[in-house]
Amino acid sequence: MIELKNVTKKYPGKTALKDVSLQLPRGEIVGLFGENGAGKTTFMKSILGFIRYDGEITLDGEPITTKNIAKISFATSEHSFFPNLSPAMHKAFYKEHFPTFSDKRFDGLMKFFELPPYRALKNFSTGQKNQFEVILALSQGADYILMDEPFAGNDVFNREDFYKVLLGILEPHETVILSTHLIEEVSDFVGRAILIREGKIVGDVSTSDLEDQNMSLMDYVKQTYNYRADRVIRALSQITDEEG
Amino acid sequence: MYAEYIKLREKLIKKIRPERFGLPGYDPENREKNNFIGWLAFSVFISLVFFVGRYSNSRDRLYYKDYETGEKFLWDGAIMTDFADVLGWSLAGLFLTAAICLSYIIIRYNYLNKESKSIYLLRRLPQRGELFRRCAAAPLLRAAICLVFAFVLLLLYFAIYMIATPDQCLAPDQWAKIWR
Repeated sequence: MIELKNVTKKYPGKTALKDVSLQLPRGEIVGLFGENGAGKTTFMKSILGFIRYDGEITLDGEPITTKNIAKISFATSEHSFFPNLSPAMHKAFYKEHFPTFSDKRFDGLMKFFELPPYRALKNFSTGQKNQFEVILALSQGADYILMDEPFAGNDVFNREDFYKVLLGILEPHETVILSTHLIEEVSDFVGRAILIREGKIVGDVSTSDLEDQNMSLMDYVKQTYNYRADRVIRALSQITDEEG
Repeated sequence: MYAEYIKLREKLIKKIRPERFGLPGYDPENREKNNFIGWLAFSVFISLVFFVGRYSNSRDRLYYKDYETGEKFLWDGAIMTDFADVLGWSLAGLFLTAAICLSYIIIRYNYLNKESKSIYLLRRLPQRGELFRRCAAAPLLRAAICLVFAFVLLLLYFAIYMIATPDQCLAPDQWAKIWR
């Protein structure tokens, strides 16, 4: 389990995370939702130890260090692969550094997405780069797979396929934490939704609870964010009145 | 003989695995290596020219010339300029090259943020010090080579100074004076 206790991250002039405390047990697909700048990326980077923060983050009760960092993988729309290397070379690199790397999953996903194994990644399309980034994260053999906007630039069919594959291949002990704007698209795939706004966790709910309440994830998000449905109509009428 | 050398080289490469000390897919590696060899050769050449010039001048001042016979004679009580003063900035080029090599640690680190953020991958590898090793190994090795060259040249220059200078003109404690 990944546990965050009172995690705060301040940048000059801005607090990116405010006293965040939550638990991420194994075997969940968690959606992390929030507008741009809400703190989703900071949340993930804090877990990975890329940035300093106040508070405590543990993995299975231990601080996250080189001893247990291999249990976490990371896919980002910024891409963390080496652009001059081919997928085959990445496979060799990952196998050398992550003993739990899954050849089978890597090869299977490469085939599924029809990615060329011997071409340098810099020559891939943005969609292919995203797919490869996610393939690496899924094949590392990690228990916790963090994905930060992994499909930015992919078409809808591509994403749809991916969610299905994801659900099909995940082992019961694997946890996916998926940060995305595409709430409706992933609502059928996530088991838990965490809403983050201005660095604070403003909502944390399981989708089964929402189902019991007969509420869609989108409605929950709108409710939590105090979304005013009449906002557009008001704005439009104001504009047209002014013009009239 | 050549075949044996190739065999030994391959064996060493297999054992050391130099790829572990480089950045994966780092394009400017060869250009960096060639630049280094060029700078090193240039620094050594400049150093030799500088030292030999300064030494010759200092040594010439120990003598006077009999213009009738063309022979050279030592001045009475002539003392050679201290080695440290003759040496002057002779090795500065090598130290500068070493400093330039070290600056490549930062250049390499920044490279990991270009095109993609491969820095994220290197920072979350379970092997401690992997990122530092891959960014710093080649620049540190090159800087060390510069320092070794500087030390070897220092020994060479000192040997030239001690051998080529007339004994009676040598002031004592020349080696110690370098470090003062």
